[in-house]
Amino acid sequence: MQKDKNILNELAELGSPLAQLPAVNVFTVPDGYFDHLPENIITGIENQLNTLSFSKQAPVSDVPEGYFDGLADSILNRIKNVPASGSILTDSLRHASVFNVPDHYFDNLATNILQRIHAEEETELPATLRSVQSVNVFTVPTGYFDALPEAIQQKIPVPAKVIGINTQRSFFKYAMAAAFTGLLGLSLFTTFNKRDEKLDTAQSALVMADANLILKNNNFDQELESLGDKDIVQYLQSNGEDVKAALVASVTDEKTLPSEEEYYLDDQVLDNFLNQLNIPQTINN
Amino acid sequence: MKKILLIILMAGLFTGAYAQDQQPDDAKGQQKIEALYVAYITKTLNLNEEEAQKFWPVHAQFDAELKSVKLELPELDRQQQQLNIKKKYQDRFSKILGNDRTNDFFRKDGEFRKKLVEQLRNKRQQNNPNQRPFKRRNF
Repeated sequence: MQKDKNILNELAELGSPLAQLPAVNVFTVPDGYFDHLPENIITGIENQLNTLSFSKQAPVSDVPEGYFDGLADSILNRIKNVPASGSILTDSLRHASVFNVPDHYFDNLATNILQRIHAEEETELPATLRSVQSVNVFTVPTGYFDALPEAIQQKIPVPAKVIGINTQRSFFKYAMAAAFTGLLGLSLFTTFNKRDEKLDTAQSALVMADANLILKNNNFDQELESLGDKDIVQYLQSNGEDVKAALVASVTDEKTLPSEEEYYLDDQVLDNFLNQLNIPQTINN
Repeated sequence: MKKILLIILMAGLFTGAYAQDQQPDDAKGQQKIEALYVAYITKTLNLNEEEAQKFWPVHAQFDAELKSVKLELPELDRQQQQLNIKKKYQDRFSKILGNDRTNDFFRKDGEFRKKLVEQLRNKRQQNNPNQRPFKRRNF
């Protein structure tokens, strides 16, 4: 076994006397001591057991046969035969009354207790208090308790009103918003509807005024000539007229188709004629 | 909330203003042709003021129904529907104008369209002067 030098140095720094001890093993055992140790111990134990007064084979004392069969009864009989000794255990076993009180003890017990309490109180109370012991020293004005709840209520500070964000409130908010939007929509719809009707009425009034003016000025033909190509087409189409067919028909009605000679001179004469009316596609169809 | 209200109000006003300003040239042109039509029918049928006051409101309904006939229908179906409407209104017009003048009205109604088509044809022929003028065909 070797001493750790580091530990020794530390001990020396601390000034411990352990550092001064020589590095010598003070515990020694004979050679082969641990080889036979278990056997030695067992032998020692056996020797000790042998020295004891009883052994496994020999019983400590003999008991007569059937001794334990009647043991309980014999014990009880012996207890019963013992005269009342005042012992609670033995007396209760013999079904004897253990507790005794004088005759009529409980008849006056309550009165006695109260008397003793009063007596003790009298001895404890000072003389000054003893005189007013049975006098009610607390008095209140008449009707004091009638006005008491109100007085208390008045003194309680009124708590600040708590405005909660509850669902019922928000529901009403949304309901109001919906109703408002509905009303707005309805009013807008009726307004524009009325406006349309007004426009129609106003427009028909304008048409009538224009018509009267044309009749008055007797300028129907001039007004007709001033109409635009696009306007006429739109009007005819909106009145369910096939403009191309009507144009061709108008030509035949007016007997303005090219003459036979024209066809001899130019084989494109019909195409040219229709092109003049801006309906070249009619040929292809 | 106030902002939303303001936006809705502004949108409403804008839409209203926009709708009011919608009087394009097309509508003016159509208005002029309608005025010509009223003038033509009034003059040719020789409508007096009382007749005109009764006739034109009925005519407005007649016109609206005719315009409601879909153009996409097959030609004969479309013509049939138009004819049905004309027959339906024949009695109503007769109560105001009498039978003869009602017949006259339907005739003049067609004539006005012919005048328009003629006008259109003339305009197109005038606008295409490069085309060689054709000799009039003598039947």
